[in-house]
Amino acid sequence: MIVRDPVRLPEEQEKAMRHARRLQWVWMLALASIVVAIYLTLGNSQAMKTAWIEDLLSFVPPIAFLVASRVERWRPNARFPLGYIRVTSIAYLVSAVALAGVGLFLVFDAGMALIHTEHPTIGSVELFGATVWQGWLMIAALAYSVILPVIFGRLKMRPARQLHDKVLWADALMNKADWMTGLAAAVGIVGIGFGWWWADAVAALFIAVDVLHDGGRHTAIAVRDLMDEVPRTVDGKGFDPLPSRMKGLVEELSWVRGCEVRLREEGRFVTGTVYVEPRGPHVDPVWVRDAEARMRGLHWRVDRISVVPVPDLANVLDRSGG
Amino acid sequence: MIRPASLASLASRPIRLSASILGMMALAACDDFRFPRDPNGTLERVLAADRMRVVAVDHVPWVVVDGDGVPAGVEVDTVQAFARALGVTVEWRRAPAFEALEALKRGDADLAVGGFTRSSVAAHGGAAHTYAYFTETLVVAAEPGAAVPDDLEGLKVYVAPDLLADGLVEEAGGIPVAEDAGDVRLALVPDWWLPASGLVPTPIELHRDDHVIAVPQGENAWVMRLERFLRARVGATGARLREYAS
Repeated sequence: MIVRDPVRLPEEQEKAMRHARRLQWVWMLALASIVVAIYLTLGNSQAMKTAWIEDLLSFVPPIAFLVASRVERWRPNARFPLGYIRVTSIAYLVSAVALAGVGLFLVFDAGMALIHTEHPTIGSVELFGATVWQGWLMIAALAYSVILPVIFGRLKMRPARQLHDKVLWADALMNKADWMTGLAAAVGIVGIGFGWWWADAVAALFIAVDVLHDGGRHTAIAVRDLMDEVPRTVDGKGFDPLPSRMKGLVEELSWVRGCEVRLREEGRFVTGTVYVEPRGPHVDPVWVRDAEARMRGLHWRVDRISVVPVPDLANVLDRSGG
Repeated sequence: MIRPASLASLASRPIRLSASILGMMALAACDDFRFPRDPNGTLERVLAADRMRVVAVDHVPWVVVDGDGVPAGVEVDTVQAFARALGVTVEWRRAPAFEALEALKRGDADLAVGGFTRSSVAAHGGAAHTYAYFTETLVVAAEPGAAVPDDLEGLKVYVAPDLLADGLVEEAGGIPVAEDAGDVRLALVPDWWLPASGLVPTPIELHRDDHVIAVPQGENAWVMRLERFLRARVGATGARLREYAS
């Protein structure tokens, strides 16, 4: 049994990782303060309730990231010779599906509030001796809940790019877009103040659809990951140029006539098989190891690459043996 | 690392948002700007018609209806004082609790009183309520000179039948009795009854009731006006109850 090497990152990425982990811890503290602030002013508003659940759900990606970045370092062993990187994808998928599920429930809940024409009752609170409409407190809590996520979302993007971490990237995007839900809920509350009972439920619906959308996006990313999709750029918008660069590099070696790659992403790493058709009838194992080392030298993400010499590239997949 | 300038620019959207909300708050502070408003215009209708429609639910001592059908009681006084403050009259109607809340739900009444609590209104689901303007505690009290127990295990406790609290005593391990045959030294009473009763309170509290006035759902200007009135006369309810007891 030959087990894989444990996960190692270059110095720059190690620094980015420490930075990202610190950021996520501080963010969870900030998030906890937001969750408390919203909870204390919740009242009878559907929009506030939905915004609160959304904020609670925002704990899922940072926790997934913190757990994942630990677990991926566990040493591969005789039972799990390929290591633990997949654990993180599975945890990510489970939490993403849960997110989508809660989103669906919230859409249903807000829809029912609209159908039943529920008129939200928001009364007064006593604040420093004055009687204040509770809606103002809700809006103050929402304003507070809007500022921090936007800042943290921006701060997370750099380490996400450096680490090629899709969980962290998706989390950063979600935080960055969070101001919209805060604004929606605030508009809903102001709407109630103007006597539009439906404004609250409509705002809640808007937020719920956003949660559902986030859940869908996270689920899609997790599924693509587990399906061994061709490597993508961290923002998921395009395909990574790395595989074609690897192909080009190997094709330039003097003993190589042609080469094809079959690559995938495992966590932040690009792994897989490179099929090589040699010029001559013999292949020195040292050449193979050299080709693998050259590809790994291309980028830190290239890892666990196997170079497989084949007699004929056109018939790699031909199971009859040509 | 992030520079101060970029920090300012990235936070600008939420700052603009907060600024616009502050602007709205300033607007709301203006006198002629009614905020919050009622979706169904209850407050404006009451003021325009010079009358509010109130359902009274029999519940001593909150609502007591005597022989000639004129409602009295602690919460009836409260409603009448509120009506005077608004300069309107009260159109009373008597109904059981469920029908009172249904009337609020249908929009056939503006208020309902009769010892409603936060949980009793919430359980109906079709009406709303004010903040808990009075908290009533049921305490176990002892006859002067009687031993004050640590718990009720096996002890007889007198519970007035209209209190409907036998279950609370049983839960605490005591034996509720409705008639005092001379061997009962403990009684479960509302805290406001204590001064008039001459009983000595024990540390055993069995229940708290958050008293509210039931209102139609979502009529936020109306609720605000009532709550402002209730907050201004804190203590009046307790004083009236003690008066009633003596």
